[in-house]
Amino acid sequence: MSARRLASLLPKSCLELVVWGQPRLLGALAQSEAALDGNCRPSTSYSPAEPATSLAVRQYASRAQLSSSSVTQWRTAHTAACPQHGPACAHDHAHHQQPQQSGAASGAKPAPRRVLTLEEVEKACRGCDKLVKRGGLVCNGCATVQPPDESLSYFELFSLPDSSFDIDPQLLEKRYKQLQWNLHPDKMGHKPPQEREFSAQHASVINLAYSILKSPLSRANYLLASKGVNAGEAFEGTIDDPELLMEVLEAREEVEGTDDPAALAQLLAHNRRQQEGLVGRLSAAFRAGDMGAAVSLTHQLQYVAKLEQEIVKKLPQL
Amino acid sequence: MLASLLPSAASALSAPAVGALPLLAQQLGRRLYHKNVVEHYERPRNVGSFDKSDPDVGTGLVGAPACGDVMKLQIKVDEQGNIVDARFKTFGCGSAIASSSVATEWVKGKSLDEVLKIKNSDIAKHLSLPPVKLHCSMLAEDAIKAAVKDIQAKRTKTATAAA
Repeated sequence: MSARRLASLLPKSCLELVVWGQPRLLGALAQSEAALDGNCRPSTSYSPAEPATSLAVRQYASRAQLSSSSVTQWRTAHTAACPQHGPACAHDHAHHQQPQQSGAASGAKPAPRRVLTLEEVEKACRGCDKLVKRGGLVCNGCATVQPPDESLSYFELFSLPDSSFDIDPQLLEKRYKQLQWNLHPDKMGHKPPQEREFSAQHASVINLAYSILKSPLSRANYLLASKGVNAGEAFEGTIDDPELLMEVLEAREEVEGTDDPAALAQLLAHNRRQQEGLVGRLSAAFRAGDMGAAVSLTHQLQYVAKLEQEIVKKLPQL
Repeated sequence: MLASLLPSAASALSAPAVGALPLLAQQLGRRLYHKNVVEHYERPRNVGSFDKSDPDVGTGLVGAPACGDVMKLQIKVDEQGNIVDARFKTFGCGSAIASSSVATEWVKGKSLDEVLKIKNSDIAKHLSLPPVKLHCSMLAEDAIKAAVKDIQAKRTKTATAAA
């Protein structure tokens, strides 16, 4: 069961009680939200008497009268287990703060994720006394359009499970349409100018984010840039990988040298297969956390995508 | 009144003075390439290839992944280490083509040590490249260096083979 489901199961009155009455539990809910990011660590932005997650679990369990075993299961699934004391560990170990690195992480280390502050997780609505969750564009209570939050990553914007290269394109499209539907100009006609302005800003960021996440190349570039790796479009240097460059040069010469539509179509088909293969390898590299390989594959993909453009330019009928 | 104004306005628009062109472009919000870029782009010097396996030929192959450009620059070097001829082949934007064309012109007749002193800023200055196109001149500088490195590696290889 996801933390969001968990929160939604609480009766609304409970939730309000939680939100207004107990700042510690607010933090706990915030933590549950952070757990959605696949990053279950105790929040350090406040000092709880006990770890936020276990507090949330205990309170939820007492309300829902769950058996303790299912609580343990939930906790095991949603918190990083302490390697020394198991999942129930409530100590403030340093390893709780560090995301566990998986695979052979060669190349650049992923930057440690910043722990969100309470204000970032839930903000007071501009129009009413409700709280708007991180990433919420419109208040659930009074439908006031909220100001854009520039700290949101494009993955968070679409509430994708985590910031990974492997995304579900159908889910992305669905979320994109949902978001734009909420911001449709028809719904904004009666709103004050300030909110219409916010809505237009949201729509523009969402369009940009969608186009970037949709294509594997720009998604890889965005991911590398967000990890602070110098690569892709932001990469200003030059490379001298003779094998890759010779291949690129020969492929470009081949495209330049032919005007035969059938031959070009064949080259295009080969190019698309090549791109698919590279995207598969790129996905494996990101999963393994191998940033060095990810950078090199992104460069290759950049060249192959450029070649595709050149072929398409010569094939106006396609 | 209107009719008397029209002909002068039309002539001013249809035949602007050559010196006024950049100003006009600026007013229209368009950016024009420097005449040196256009010149090298339209009539590139030394396009082509040498045989890569020739012991007197050094080949530099570099790429700029950000824009998907690839540049091949080859130099033909005599026994004394002077560059007698150069060729290039570039797949990229106009600035990249112009940069490599200029590079082949400049390296001819120079020694290997001399050409290593050619800096991308010199090429960029000669072509008046805007900041976003500086990496094209960087590509040309790196191509020269790679070609020199290649011929030096070839020479040491043949020298050790002969010894």
